[in-house]
Amino acid sequence: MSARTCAAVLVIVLAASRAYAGDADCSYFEVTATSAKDATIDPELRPLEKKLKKPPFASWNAFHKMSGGAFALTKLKAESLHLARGAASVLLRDRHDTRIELTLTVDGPDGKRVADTKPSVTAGDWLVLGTNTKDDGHILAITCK
Amino acid sequence: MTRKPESELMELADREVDDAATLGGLTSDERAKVDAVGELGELVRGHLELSADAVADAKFARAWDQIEKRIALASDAEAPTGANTETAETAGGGGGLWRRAGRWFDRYRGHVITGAVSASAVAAIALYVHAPVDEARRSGSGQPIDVRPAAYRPAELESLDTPGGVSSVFHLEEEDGRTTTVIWVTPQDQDMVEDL
Repeated sequence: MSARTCAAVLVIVLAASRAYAGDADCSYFEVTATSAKDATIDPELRPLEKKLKKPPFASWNAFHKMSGGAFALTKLKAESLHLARGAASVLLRDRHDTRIELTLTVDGPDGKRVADTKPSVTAGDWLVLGTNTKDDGHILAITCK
Repeated sequence: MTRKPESELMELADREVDDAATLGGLTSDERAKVDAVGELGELVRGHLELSADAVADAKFARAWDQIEKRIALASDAEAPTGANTETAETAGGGGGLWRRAGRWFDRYRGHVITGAVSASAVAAIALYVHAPVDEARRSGSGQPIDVRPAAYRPAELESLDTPGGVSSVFHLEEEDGRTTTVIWVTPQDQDMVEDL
């Protein structure tokens, strides 16, 4: 076995061990949903575009990104998301093969707790938490793998 | 006008003499006699030719029978004798058995082909008729066959707490089999709605 092959195997083993150690790479979008004369969806929201055309999001036709980005999760270490409206934190409780167990808490702008949930999602799937304020909607979408 | 001798009329009827002048000089009785004899001669010749053909066919049939028998005898002689013959034929490697099978197939080729075509048609119809049943069974109507990959399981919520709001959970199935889970929180009171 050549040195190059050994290095490749080592990288794969390390990557696998890191994944099974309980870490996860995630990304999120904070979106505001409104009803406008012309339907618009921000180009950055392309990963969510098809979902935003289905109920319950079909009540609105204009979706704009408020914040978003990628973040890494380490097992049992809560990660805060910098939201434009309110606050949220994500905790990676555990992961088994393709299932990722999270704890997600979302607070409103007034600091009151909006939601506290413990979902177990398939890696790569989206978890969306939304609220409606009068006629507008506020959406937080998270995916981890 | 002198009467023609019978021998001359026979020659005319047999076309042995083809003399237009002579034919033109015949009386009506003589012409009728020549025509009748000629027609009779044609009939006799036709009958004889048919008889000759029948004899030839019978002879050929007998000849082919004899040829086939000799071929069969020759193949039997070439095949192993006694117990070896039986063993060889039982094993399906015997030339005689193979030839007999070939002859049987040649003889009943039409039946075999008709049977095969009919069986194929029946099989095709059966497959076509039963296909929806199998599809329905696969889609899972009480049958534990609808197996989905673990990778496409929707999210499971161990707990969900939405203080001050009413929550609804949706599972949006994607075209690629993935599932998006949506937790929708509707505030209960207007004050909270305005705060959000």
